[in-house]
Amino acid sequence: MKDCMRYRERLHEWVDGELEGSFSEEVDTHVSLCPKCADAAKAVEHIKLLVKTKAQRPRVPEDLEARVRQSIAIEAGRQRSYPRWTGRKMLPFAIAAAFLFVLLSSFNHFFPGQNQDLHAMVSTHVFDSHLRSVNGEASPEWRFDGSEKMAAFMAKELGTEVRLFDLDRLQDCIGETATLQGVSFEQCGDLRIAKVFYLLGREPLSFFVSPSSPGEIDGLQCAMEGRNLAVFCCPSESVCYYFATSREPEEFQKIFQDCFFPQK
Amino acid sequence: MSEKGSRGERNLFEEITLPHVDDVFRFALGLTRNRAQAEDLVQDTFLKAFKAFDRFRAGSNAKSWLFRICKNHFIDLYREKARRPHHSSAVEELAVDSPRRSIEVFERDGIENEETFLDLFGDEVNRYLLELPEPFRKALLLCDLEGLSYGEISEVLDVPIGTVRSRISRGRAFLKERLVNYAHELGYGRE
Repeated sequence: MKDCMRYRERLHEWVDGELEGSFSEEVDTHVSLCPKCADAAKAVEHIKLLVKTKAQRPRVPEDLEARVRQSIAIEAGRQRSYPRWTGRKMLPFAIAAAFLFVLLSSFNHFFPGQNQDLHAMVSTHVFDSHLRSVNGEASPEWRFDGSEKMAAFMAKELGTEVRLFDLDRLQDCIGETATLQGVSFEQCGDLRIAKVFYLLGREPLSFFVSPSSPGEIDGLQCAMEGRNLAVFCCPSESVCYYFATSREPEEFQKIFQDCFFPQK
Repeated sequence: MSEKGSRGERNLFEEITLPHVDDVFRFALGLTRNRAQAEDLVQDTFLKAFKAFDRFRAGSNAKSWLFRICKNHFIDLYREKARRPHHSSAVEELAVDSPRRSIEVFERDGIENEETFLDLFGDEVNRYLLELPEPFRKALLLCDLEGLSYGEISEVLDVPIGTVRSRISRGRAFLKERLVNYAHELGYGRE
């Protein structure tokens, strides 16, 4: 057919559904009438089918989607936490956990250097558990109105002294309201860990208190660094406090020192 | 759209984009050729997409939107090394012998059924795809494997739509020639 050449060169577009209405119909008609062009179209379709079915699809890491979800959860939390902190960037969710702590000026740090495995295990636990809070997938088992009652309850449950922070002093530094909600206890290996739930503004956050044996004194430590989230621990005489944060380590340390350990 | 960072917005974002994680990984792997870098690139792509979600046009193709973000981020990351899309005419040259033999294995009469046809070719498709120069392979895979339209491929690859059209048809012609020869060696088709 004399028109064959004209249609033949557009067959790829026709097979790919890229042709506009009237011309597409013209090709439909031609292909239905011309066996040679019908064969040529079939050939294009079969190559397309071969590529679609046989082209190698590289193996995708199984946990990739979970990691993407995690990044998004963290980013969503960050977006909700940014407003209202004047003059500097708003603290992201978990970092503000430390608002609640009473970490006295005579506070002695120690790092549980004698037990690195335990430390790593707790950090991993904190990392995962914190994400559940950020995702709104966890709520406190025990609810308290005041921090004193809650600290006493935690001390009894953990079998060691627990001190909580002066909220008013912290609020002066941060300019954000933190509301204590309650506490749950989680098992991490043989260790019983307290998970404190609180709201920063309306954002559900958490921090963790782990009873640990004294080790070397070394101040605030970055215990685990993930792609989007780091876990810090702050050892005291009797317990270790854990915070998960999406801040850079240096930034977290500075905020922590400025707001929680103001120099006298 | 719901409030920035809200649960509703996040759910909607995840519903629209997460089905494409594997596709974006394949695309990222094609850019980086390194699995670890591709994984990082995928995470960054989804984060950037999430931050820019208010600019996503409802009803448009999320996959090609993600591919564009992925490619742009890749270029930003590896700007010095990145091979920006070529527009030289040399790269559009692809020698394809016009098949003089009429082997009909690809056409109507040569195929008993689809299954037989697909069984006939295994690794050869990938072998010949790899022989295909990259610009042609990318256009072809975006079209046939990822199901993108010519317009979307043009945006993802930063080339005019006419170039996409030509790369796809030439790429297929190249594959067909190789596969026809292979099928002929196997004794299929007839001269």
